[in-house]
Amino acid sequence: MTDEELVKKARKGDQRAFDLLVRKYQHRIYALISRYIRDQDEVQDVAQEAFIKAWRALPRFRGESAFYTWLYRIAVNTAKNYLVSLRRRPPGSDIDVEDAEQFIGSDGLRDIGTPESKLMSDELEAVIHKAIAALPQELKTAVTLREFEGLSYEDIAAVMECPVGTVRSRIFRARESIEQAMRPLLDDAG
Amino acid sequence: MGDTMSQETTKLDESSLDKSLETLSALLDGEVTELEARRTLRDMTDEDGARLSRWQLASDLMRGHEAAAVPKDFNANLMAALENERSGKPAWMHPIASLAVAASVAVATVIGWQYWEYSSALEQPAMVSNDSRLPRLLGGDTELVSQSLRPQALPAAVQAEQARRDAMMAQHSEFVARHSGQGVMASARFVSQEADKLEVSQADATQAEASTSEKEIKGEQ
Repeated sequence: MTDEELVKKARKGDQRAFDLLVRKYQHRIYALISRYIRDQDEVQDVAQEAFIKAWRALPRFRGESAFYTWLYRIAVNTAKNYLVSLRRRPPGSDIDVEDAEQFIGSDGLRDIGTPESKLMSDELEAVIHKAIAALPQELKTAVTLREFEGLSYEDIAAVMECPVGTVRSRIFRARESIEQAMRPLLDDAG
Repeated sequence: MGDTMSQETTKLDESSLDKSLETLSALLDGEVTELEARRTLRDMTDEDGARLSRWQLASDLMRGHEAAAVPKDFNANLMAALENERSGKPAWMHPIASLAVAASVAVATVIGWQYWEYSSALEQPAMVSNDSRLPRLLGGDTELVSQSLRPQALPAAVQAEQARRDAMMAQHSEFVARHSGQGVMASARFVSQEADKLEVSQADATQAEASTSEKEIKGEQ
């Protein structure tokens, strides 16, 4: 089910569909707001407000841009308005939405995030790469083609010469292993 | 034998759980059918949602997106806020605000209870007068004036009216009882609820009683 289909459902009032959209993008939105606001409690409040605004504005979302692009704008505006309301100055430099889609870390705004959150992300990345390296070859190939190359299940099935169902199972098993490796870090983070 | 069956059942349960988690994983990639999506969304538990969030975080980081772990209660809090939106409660209905509202309701209840007890105490004499109303009203006496001075004037007036009617009915019943089996029908009709009309009605009944008594005397003769 694509974002478009989830948005359609959410527009009809399906809160579970909206919950799935939230879960898909909350980590990126959270990181984005962390670039404007340091305090983690405030980040949580602003992120929540951004998603509530998105929920309210869903009937006006025409689908002319990707859902994440639209959500990104709402989150940036919410963070900026929050800072203005506190008479704090929003950061001067901003990043483009399209850049945000492929954000790697060259932008100055990244330095605004707390050292703790940066450390956390770095640690998580290291754990994930270690977990992938430890996977059996067929799982590693399937998850790499999916996550790094962005191939569809059908394309992966063609590359790996196996049924789509097998691809599905391999990607799930790879995710389970990676998640197991991540858990201790996430549990510590609360 | 039993152990083998139990092991097989456990395996089946695990296999079914794996299948549903597999579908959850495919949902994240948008690789499920409409039916599967609907079913998975419908049956998704909080734990499934948390698992899906962790998979998504891993995926974001693998793809080089800047992503941060969110607090565990983030989704629950957000969904509760959205639920409040839908049910018409304002977003500021924080648990503390709810507590304040609950406290206000409790205070209002206590004050209301005390007021009610006070009102009951004031109405106590009215209860006494109701108990003794029949003989008093039969004597043609009413306490409309004194009842109207009580805190609830309207109910007292209504009570007095009701008492007047009760008295009339009692009088009528007694009259019928005295003349039962002698051609007198046990029926009564209110002409009006107004006091003067009731008095007229009472007077008619008295006249009828008198004329029947005359007939009785003539019959005996």
